[in-house]
Amino acid sequence: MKEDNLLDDFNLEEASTGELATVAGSLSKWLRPVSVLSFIIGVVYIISGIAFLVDDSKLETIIYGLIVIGIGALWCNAARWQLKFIQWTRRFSLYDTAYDQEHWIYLNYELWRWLAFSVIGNIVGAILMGI
Amino acid sequence: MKDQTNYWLKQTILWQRVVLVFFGLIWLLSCLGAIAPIFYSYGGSDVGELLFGMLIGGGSFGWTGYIVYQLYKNIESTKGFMGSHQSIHWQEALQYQKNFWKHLCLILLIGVALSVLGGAFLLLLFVGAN
Repeated sequence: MKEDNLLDDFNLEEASTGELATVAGSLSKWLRPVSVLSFIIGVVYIISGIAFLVDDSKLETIIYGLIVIGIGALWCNAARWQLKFIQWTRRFSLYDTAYDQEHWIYLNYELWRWLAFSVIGNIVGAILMGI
Repeated sequence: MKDQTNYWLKQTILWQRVVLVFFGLIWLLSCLGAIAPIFYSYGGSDVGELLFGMLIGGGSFGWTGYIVYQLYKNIESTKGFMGSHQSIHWQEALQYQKNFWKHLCLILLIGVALSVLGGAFLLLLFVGAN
């Protein structure tokens, strides 16, 4: 099930798409525990942030709490995109179309973007809370 | 369609570089962790503790270095795919990305397991002391 008009752009015949799907399947197998861990990290951050807010009503504590909740939200969103990527990989290994590959590249971009945001959030949060 | 895909690929490389810098920093920190026990021998002359500290530090240094290398190769292969649009490069990029996630996943799981074991050990010590 291939779309010939897009094959010119991607030269899918250059590599066995079956092999590609196998690599993709293996990738998603290892990405799944990471997405679960990312989600757990996010939830732990959000709970800690809420604990900050409940604990004290000082402006400083509220700011701390909001920063921590924000970092948690970034991690949860990173986990969401990781899961989307995993789901699309499963679809790709079933249908194997050029459109699937296009969308897959897009999901890969979102996955790395949100992972980078989470990492930046962690660093900025650590610096701010250190100050 | 091709322009849009190239845009996504360019952006992917950009964000991957950000993550690469982050892991590079962790790598440098683990290097310090590996050599720190030489200068700071945990308040005594216990060779066992010194070797254990160096083993943990050295292990995470090697492991993180491997993760950084796989991510770097992933970026290079993605660049290759962007230039050639040959699926073989995309397959190569995914292979490196798989290795990146695999080793990241393993090091995180080992970290969690060690933390749980350490916590249980401290709990036992605490219970024993009381």
